Amino acid sequence: MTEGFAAGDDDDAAWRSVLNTFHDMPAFKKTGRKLTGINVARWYVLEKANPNSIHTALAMARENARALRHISPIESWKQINMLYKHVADLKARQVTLPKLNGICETVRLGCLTHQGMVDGTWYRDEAWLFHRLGSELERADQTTRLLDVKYYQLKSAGADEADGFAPPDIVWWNSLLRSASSYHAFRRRHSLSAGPAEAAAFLLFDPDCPRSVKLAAMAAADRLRELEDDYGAAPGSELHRACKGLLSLLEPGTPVKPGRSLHAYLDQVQVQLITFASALATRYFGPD
Amino acid sequence: MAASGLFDTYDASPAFCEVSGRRDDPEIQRLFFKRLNKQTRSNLARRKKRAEEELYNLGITFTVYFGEDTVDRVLPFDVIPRPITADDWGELEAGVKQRIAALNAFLHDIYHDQQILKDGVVPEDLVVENKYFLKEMIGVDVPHRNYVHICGTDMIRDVDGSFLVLEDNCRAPSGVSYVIENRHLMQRSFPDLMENAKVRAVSDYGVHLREKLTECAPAGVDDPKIVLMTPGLFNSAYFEHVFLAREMGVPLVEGRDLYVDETDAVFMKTVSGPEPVHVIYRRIDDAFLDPEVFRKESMLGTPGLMRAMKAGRVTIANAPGTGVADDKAVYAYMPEIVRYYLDEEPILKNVRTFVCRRKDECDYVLDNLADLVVKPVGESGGYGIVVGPKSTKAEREEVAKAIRKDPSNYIAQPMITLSASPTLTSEGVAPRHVDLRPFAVTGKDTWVLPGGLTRVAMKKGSIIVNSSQGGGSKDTWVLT
Repeated sequence: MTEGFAAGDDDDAAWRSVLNTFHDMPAFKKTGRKLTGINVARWYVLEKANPNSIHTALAMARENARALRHISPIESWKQINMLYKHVADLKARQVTLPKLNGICETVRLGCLTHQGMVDGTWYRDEAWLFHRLGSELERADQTTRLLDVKYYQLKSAGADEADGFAPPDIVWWNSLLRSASSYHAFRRRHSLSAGPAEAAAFLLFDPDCPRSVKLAAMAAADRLRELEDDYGAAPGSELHRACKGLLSLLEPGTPVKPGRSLHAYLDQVQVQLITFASALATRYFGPD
Repeated sequence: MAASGLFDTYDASPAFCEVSGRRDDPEIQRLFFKRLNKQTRSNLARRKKRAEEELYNLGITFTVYFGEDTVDRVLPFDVIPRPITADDWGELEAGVKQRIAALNAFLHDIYHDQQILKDGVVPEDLVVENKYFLKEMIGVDVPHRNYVHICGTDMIRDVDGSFLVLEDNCRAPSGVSYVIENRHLMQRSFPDLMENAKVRAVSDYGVHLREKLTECAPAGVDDPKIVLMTPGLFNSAYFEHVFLAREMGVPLVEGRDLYVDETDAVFMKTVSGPEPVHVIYRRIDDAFLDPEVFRKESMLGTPGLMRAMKAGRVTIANAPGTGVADDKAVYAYMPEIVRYYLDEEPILKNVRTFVCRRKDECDYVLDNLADLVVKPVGESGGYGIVVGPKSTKAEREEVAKAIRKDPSNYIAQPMITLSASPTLTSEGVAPRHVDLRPFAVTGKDTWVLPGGLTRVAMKKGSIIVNSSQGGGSKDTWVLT
């Protein structure tokens, strides 16, 4: 993402939209730090008090992995542990704009490596199915947030809400697609006239794009079915309903226009993802 | 200027400097004299090294073969961008468009009525006896009379800052992948230098290229199948072919992946059967394109492509036979060619050129070898060039002999003091000579990528910027 934001016309607006996308503006303001690119970057890389920071995410992943050490492959634990240590050892002064890309690249490669290890070494038991299920839901959620950045960017730029949003910006969408490793596939799949609406639809509905919400939701549904069929995990009606609700929301034909209606739609998808995750937690990870 | 800044001892004179020559531009003042000036040489050098490693890792390389060994090389990357002000760019863009319009009109004419030859504006033998003139193209009509779909005009700047055209590259000019990748690299590795910079975007080149190629599809084809044709992965520019196919979202093919059927239609072989092809952006020379017509032994081309093109079933970009228009001797006539077809004065000037096929000019060249740059007309890549003021007596005698033997093969130009741009060297920031290759794509009309390949001679005082001769490149910032 560094590319799209560093190159923006008005960087503060770009960074502000990131804070808004993750609903982090109030928490960031509480720190009393000035809203600059590097301060926002540090907040998302290092900040222990930020539940959305890379540091926090890795710390939580590590604690989860610790609980699973008796089932998960050794490689998986080691990889998470190493990546956590790498980020935890970073000092604020080491996180600078010139170094940001290198730091992000290390984290990105570390995550992809972990994913490859899980895929290549984890015994295909119910623990693996749960791990996959959780990853797919997380991916679906992150893609919706990525798509929503534009909404907050336009909003903070003061676009007239009553009039819908400012003219769609294809250069911005292209850089968003590049951030999601989806630009070249998008160009191959679509004709020349494809614009912002198609770009958004690609990341939402394309059944073959590994970053699309649709593919993640379908994969999550598949894992849930396997848990039921192969392990008698009996998801129950609430979880089934939540899963079905998510899939039906992602049926083709959903009108998608970048701007406000897209934001409203993404909001709906996010609510449905939360419903799904809560139902999962209640059914399998509840107190009883 | 800040104390002990990078630019403190910088002095490009007598050359025009791309940065200090436009120091009045507020954006240049802000980005270079304030922001960049605060960097230290060692810090920039460290980051340059990392940036070049990144280029290598990403495979943004050209390949050199030593027998069995394959060596991937990165084009040396200079971290200090070369800026172009909005006004300068406006002039350059208009000039490039004008030049391409004239080149297309010229190519249409010489392959049809040859009026310009009949009117004696350009010598007939220079054109029809040129090795790049293709008899096979005579009378062939191409969509929108467009021959030069992709053009990379080599430009330099004189001591007063005026742009001069050095060469029109009408065949398959390479380097555009570096323009875009250099930018992506700057954005990733130097976000501090680029923050808020009012620089025009270059990353949508692929979309524009595909759009222009689509416009040139054979009549009646609305959603054409475009392919990029490469000689194969042993070609030194293979990365660029991959890049262009990826950015356009079109298949990358070799000649053997295509065939032409008895109705002159072109097909691509796919796992699900033949698929019609309507536009071919080929990165393969005319001579290898179609063994039915040109070199019989060519394994790189596809038999029948020429008849498919003549039948209007496929568009080949650039059209075969465009090489005659970027011949170094025809170049000398470009100002007249512009006036002849467009009835306008050329916006971009040529470098003064002496054509040795003209007796008087040849005599002048032979008398003034020590002051002139002599170039063989049919060569590219900087090969065979003799730079008079930097040559030895023996070299001058040798080239004089060659000129006397075959005058038509030579042109000469006065030595131009190329413009310089601040470049990171082992001694700090120092002026190094640069040129510029803006890329233009043409369909119904012409679009010029706001940027271009800035090549830089990394050696002090050198004016040879070619990558084959150790030149490097810079990101080119067209300011708004």
